[in-house]
Amino acid sequence: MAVAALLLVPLLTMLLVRFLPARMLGGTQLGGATLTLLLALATAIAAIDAPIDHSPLYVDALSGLLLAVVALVGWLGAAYAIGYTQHDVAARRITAGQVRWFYIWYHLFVLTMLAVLVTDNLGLMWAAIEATTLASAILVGFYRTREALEAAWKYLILCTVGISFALFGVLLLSAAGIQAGLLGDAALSWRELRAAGAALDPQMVRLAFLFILVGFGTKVGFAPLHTWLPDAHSQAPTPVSAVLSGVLLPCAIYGIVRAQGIAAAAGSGGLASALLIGAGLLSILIAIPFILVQHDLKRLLAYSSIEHMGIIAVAVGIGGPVALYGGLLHLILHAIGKAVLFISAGAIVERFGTRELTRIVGAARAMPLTGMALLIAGLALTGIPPSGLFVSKFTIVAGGFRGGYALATGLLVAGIALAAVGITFHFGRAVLGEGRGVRTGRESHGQRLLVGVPLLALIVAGLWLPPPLAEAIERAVRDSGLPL
Amino acid sequence: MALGDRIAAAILVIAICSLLIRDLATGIVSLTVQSALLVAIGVAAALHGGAWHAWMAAAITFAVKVVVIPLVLRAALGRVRLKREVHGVMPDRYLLVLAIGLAVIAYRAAGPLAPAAPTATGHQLPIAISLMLMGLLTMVARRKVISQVIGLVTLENGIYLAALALSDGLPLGIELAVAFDVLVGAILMAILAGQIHQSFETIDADRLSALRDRSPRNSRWL
Repeated sequence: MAVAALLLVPLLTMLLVRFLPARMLGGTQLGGATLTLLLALATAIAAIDAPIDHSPLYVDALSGLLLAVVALVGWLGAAYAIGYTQHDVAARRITAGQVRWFYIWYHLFVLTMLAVLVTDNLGLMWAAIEATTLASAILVGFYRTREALEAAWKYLILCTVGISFALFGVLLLSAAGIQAGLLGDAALSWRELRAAGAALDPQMVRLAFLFILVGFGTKVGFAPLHTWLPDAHSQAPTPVSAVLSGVLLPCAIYGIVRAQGIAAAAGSGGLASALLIGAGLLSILIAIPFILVQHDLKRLLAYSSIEHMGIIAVAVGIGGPVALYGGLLHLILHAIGKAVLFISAGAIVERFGTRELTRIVGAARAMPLTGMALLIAGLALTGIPPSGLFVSKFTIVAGGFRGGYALATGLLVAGIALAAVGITFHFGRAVLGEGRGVRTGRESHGQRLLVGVPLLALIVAGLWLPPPLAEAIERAVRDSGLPL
Repeated sequence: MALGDRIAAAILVIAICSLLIRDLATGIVSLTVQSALLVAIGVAAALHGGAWHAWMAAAITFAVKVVVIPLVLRAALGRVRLKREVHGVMPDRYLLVLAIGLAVIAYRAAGPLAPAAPTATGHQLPIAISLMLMGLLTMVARRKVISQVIGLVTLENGIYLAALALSDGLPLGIELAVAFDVLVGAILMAILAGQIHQSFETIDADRLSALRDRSPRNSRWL
């Protein structure tokens, strides 16, 4: 029962961190994160081979692959958090006692995300997604400054209201299932509902999908429900920002994909596709001006996340084996790339003592490796070859044209290009510009490894994708339950 | 008119009236009454259907929404000096008209869903949707953070009623998970409200407006 163990490890980590002496906290929680990562990989490998089915626990290739990505980004955040919290304590931003609680909430947050992915029960999945909001809201407000409290409050209220709509959508799906003869928990299982397909009342399913799209879409950060996202990403402690952006948003997309599978089986696939493409394009469109004219480094990264979630939503909306493959690859590489970006941006913000982009100039001189990592990861994320994100974006665009979505794909390309201009401009200046009076300083080996290795992976993925990973993505596309 | 429908109608009247309540303590009482009536509908359904999980669900809802959440809100209110809504976004008479308009819309919207609600007796589903809309309206029209939590719980009450109308309630395990989330959410919001009051010296959500995208101070780069 690797799945049950996978859920137990973060819990045990939380318990240990609660009671161990302070000097053992960092190592212990990193050990917990490592074990979580290993178990997630084991679960993913097993699930890619054949679905793991112990109702209500259920993991197939798609959820297995996402489990691995969540655990990987969770591990990067946990590793970065050790130095980050030490620095915060030294700067008297938090007390040594608060570090313990940071780790406890952090591992709870990772646990809730894993829980989203291990069940086929829409009710439990909903509860897990709501739990991710609750756990991460504590982390967003962790510094208890006015700004942090404001961000946490807006995040908590907007996402809880949004997700209530999703619960209503789940209820409607379950009512449609009961009407079609499903009993008890089966009426909440996305597998059973998808199998019931044409027997479901199409009008109910359409309405349900709409509510679920709005509800989970708030959590993804689809415009115009994205307003919480830049606030939360910029106020949260940096390791948390990386996890929020890299894997929390995709967890919500995962919920939408499962509902989309039911809608497609009930004959409303076209409507679901159109809505997703619309939501994705609107998000990209709204994010672009804020990327071009941005004053805050962490908000810039947040708007870039809105753009990338838009790209993934368009890919899922276009559908078909090519675009879905590209979308999933994009999701994985964006998660890794965003983690690197937040980690290096966090270090730069720390050194310059500000998040203002006008005052961060010349990071390459102040901290050569971290500065260059920020620039390279930023460029990689815009999709410049040989980055892996070039491959994923190209695949999505190819899938779009092949699937006959010429207009939507054209708009997507234009959006990607404009956002690339903004990111290149800001990061170019921040890293390569002529800075005045910047102290040069030490960069730790750990930090170099933490940024360098994922960055290397990002670039290697553009040149050569390991066959087992490509195979896993193909199987995940097959298990998505969307028409291929 | 069946018993469940009568109670649901009472809930709707209370929800509309509580939009006009400005005293926060009275607002919490009104929310408690609303939740208690909701539990009564759950009990009526349990008496009718007789399934043990329906009784359990009603008991959980009672514990969470009638006992714990009002206590938590009351505790949060205890730390606040100004315990009233001072100004709303619109005059109360327009708010009332808007609320009644939303209830009418809810009745129209529930029409197509009616065949899916075999256990409902006609009015529960439209009233459930009205209740969701009243909750949203409260959150938009009222500015104190406590009022926003009251609006949110009203919204969740609407969803609970919809679950009763559509499918005799959710399976027990799911019901528990949802109730747990609602409970933790309300407690978290109350704690945050306390911290906001401490550092802003107000619980006006309008004052939470420091975070926004502004144009760069130094615009020579543009």
